[in-house]
Amino acid sequence: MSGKLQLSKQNNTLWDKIFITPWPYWVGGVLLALVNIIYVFFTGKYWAITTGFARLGAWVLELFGINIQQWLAWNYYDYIKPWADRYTWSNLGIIVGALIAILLAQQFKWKKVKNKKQLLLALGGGWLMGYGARIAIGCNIGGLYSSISSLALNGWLYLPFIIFGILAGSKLLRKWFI
Amino acid sequence: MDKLDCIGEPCPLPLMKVEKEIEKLKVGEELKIEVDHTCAMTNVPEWARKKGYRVESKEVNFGEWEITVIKTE
Repeated sequence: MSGKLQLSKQNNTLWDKIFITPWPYWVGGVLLALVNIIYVFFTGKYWAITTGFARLGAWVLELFGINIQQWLAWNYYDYIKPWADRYTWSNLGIIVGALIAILLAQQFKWKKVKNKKQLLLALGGGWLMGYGARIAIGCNIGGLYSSISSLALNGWLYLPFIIFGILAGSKLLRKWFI
Repeated sequence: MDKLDCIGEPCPLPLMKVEKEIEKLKVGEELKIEVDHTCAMTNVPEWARKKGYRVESKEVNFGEWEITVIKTE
């Protein structure tokens, strides 16, 4: 797969090439690496996603009066309020950036949920991904990408297992959902 | 001819479903697939062309496409 989009009406103006047609994977890779260097340079910390979700979730529970301060999870990373957490802002940046990109491509659309099965699969899948990422103390960004690029061995350990997980997941998908 | 309804399904589901459905077809028969994820507009036609099948696509609604794959050889 080259990542080339084949829409029926395709123009080749510079605008289309930049904002509409997906960029080749290698361009994305190089850009991710460059932006990651900038991130580490300015914040002094590696880029991660789900640690921010954990803090956000804990903060929401705290609003409902649940005592989350004593949770053992905070032995592995500190509990700080979401607005003081750089990951909250980089996660928001991803969402806002994606929105700007899709608006520029003029492809923004609210997509409906087709049926209950789709809704349950999406919620179940999201829950499993979130739970897995927290048990592993990192998703594929913090645990794999940032770890390998900061020369940490745990990233390399993460790699064979995530490949195995994807293979097993694809087999299950083919067997039960296709 | 039944349509393969892949509306709301992210990749790789549409391609995996097409791979399975096309097996059941005879040479010369066609399969219509409805998708609303642009990634399926990338990988389904690319896969079909690699297989040597004929493939056409059109946008039926805003952000919804219909891909037609005709089984050849």
